[in-house]
Amino acid sequence: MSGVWSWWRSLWAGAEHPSVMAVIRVLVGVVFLYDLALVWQYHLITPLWGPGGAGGIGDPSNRAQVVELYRWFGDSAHVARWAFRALFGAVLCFTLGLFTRPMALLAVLIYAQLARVLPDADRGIDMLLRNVLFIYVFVPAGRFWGADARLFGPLGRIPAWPRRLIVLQLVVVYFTAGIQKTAVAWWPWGGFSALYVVLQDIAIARIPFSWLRQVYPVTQLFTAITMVFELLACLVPLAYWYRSTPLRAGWLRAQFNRNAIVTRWWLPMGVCLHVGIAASMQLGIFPWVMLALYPAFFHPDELARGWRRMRGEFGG
Amino acid sequence: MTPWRRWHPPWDDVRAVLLLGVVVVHGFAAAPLARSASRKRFDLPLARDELARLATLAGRVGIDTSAEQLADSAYDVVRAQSGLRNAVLAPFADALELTGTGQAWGLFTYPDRFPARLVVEGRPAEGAWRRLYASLDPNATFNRDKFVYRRIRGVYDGNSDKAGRAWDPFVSWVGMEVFAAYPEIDEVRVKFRGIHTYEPGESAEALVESGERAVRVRRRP
Repeated sequence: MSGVWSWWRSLWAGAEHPSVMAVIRVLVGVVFLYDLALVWQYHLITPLWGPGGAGGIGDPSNRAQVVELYRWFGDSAHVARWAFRALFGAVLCFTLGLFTRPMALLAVLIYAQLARVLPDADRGIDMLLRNVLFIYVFVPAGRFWGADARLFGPLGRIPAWPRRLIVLQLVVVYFTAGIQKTAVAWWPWGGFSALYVVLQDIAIARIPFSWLRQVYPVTQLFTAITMVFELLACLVPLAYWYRSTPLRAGWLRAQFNRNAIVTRWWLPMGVCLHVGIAASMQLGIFPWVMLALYPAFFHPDELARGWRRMRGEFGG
Repeated sequence: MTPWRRWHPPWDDVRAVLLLGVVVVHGFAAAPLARSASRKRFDLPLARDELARLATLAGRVGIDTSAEQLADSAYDVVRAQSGLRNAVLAPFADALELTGTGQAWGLFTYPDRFPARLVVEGRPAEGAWRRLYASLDPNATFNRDKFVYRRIRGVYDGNSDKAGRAWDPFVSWVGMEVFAAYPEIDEVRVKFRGIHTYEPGESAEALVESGERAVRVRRRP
């Protein structure tokens, strides 16, 4: 038992360079800001988050439990607009690394309130955004590539557990998405028809996809690849464990480490999957938020090596 | 046993305990357990289609059952699951709600062979209906960017089988948008056109449109 506890404790212990968490902070922040900018551009603040009397679709004041936002500040379109401005400001500060931790907390709390005003408009990716922002409440990630570094001094090391927790979060997202795909269309006995059917959904497809009938076997192949990718997510923690214990014996460990299963095979599959989703479906920021989190799979030293190699190749 | 133990700062243990709690609670929340149980949901076209396919598959391996029997069994399982899930997560419900955090990652769990096309039409007081917007219709693109925006699609997409709580306020919002953009239009009609998706070999067409659902009309105030 003490061995298991020791392993668990060491899993979350340690410190590392803050570059990866800083990169994720900026990427996630930019994607989130883009999405909020669309709400503003389309004049959707009041329809999405305003009270029913002012033209809000959610009609939050007539629910059994009125959200604190409206209970404390009154139910008006004015409050909805101020909540939006505060959210936008908090996410902007978070992205710039200015008072990063309190701004992450502020963004989480306001965004959670808005989610409850109109739950139908709050998608899974919004919950993932809040999960990640909440992790940042505990990370001084603005002390690198951020305004906090100027205000409070730069940090060369931050705790390693937040990045590992983001990796675990992504593994859970993919693996549970895979095991929940119990519809026969996702499996051989359903003819792997899922992707074909999904792409025929007019509300989601970017263009009409009826022509996919001509290349139906290709859609079947991609359905199978999607399932393999999502279910293989459960092997990611094993791959990391193998990588952290390279001197131990075992054929499987050697194969995993020699072939860099996660970074050379699994992650490129994920990138293709999300780029494919972005190209074929109208799911908004979903694929971009997922890709913005991918740097978490790399140790800061790997990121630095990759950056050096890239600069070398491009003569920087 | 080693003669000495490596010293760890107490904070390492505290952090490990806290993260164990987080991982256990969120791990349970992520488990593929139903969140709510409704027998009526098994009567939706999507569910009936899935159950019919499962019954056929079961028949092929010698299990004699029907879609109706499968629905009853599935409902019992779903009810037990949702009861367990809600009971276990109840102590953490307030914290999860306050932060809006949680775990729910079912992406296209059940590909819908019975999707719907959102259609917005308008007409002058005594005129004929004119199609202003319809999903993926190149000739009816009013407010297209707004209607396909993920948050707005989330509002109406769930109403295509049965109009829900947000449907009427959504239609009123659509009405205001149309009246603001078209001074000549006095009536707006919003509805879904039902679609049946066919796989190759099932039908000559990929999509067949039929029937209307959740039809609502708004008049200029």
